[in-house]
Amino acid sequence: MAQDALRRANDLLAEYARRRFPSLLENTAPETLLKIVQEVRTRAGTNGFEREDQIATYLDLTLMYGSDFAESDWAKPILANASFVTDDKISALMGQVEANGVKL
Amino acid sequence: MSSGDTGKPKLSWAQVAQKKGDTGAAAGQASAPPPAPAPKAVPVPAPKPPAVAVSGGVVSCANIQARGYPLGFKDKAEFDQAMGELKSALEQEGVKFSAIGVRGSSVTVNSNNPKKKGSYFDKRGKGKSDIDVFFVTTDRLKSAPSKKGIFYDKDMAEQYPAISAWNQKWSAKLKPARKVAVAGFRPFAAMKPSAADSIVSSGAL
Repeated sequence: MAQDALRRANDLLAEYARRRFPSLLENTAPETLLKIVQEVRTRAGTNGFEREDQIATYLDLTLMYGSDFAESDWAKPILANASFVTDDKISALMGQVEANGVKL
Repeated sequence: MSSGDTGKPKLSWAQVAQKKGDTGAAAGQASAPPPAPAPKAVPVPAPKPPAVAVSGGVVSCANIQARGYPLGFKDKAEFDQAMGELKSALEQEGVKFSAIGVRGSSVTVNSNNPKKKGSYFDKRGKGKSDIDVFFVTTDRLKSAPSKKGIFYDKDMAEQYPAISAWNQKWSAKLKPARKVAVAGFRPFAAMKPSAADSIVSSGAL
């Protein structure tokens, strides 16, 4: 049952990614996308993001900027800021992206 | 391009830092980080997954039951008011009940309906999911239950004006407005509400 819940959550994230990035993921096989989702879930977890909506944003950023976006100079200071709770971090990350004119 | 999230305003680094009282050198940073560069791909609008945690493979919805009111209500006071008024409506109609409450995806987030696999509360947009309100009764009602022991919401609204008025009032009152409807269940009904998928306001299952 626990594995079912996780599988279902990963399936939903994969569906979400396909809706968000239809062109980018057009030729990505379902099993490859699921592996990406699983990896993103792990990486998001190491940064404290456990809610599905937050992981979805982390997935957005990974697909937009690459799997190492968390180490970039625009994201790392936010993710490393111990005084920010996860909602603050998500909000600040989205603010950094939207400052560049891209709507998240 | 519209947002794929819930529409909360995004805060800049400075705004977040200011909110946290972390002025200037936020958490040891000499200055705010640079804006994000142009992305490789730009997302198209899509609703985000629900704000629930899947910890250790288990979807954590217990917080909704623990907080005591379902999704769709702004707070416990509003939920208690709705349930209090439902209790009055049932009493006004002379319907005895052993429990009243709310069940379904407004409590569990993810739908447990096999016909709605993969669905979750408001997946199709804000206000698109119903609030499934229930009462459990052994009373003889004006309409007969189904073979499965269910008094469907449509029948209840047709036969009991006070329940119909309650449905209408709360369907319009919630923000965003959404369908709120009361159905009845026999205690033996196979699909009766359970502790796992319900918030009981009055009585016991």
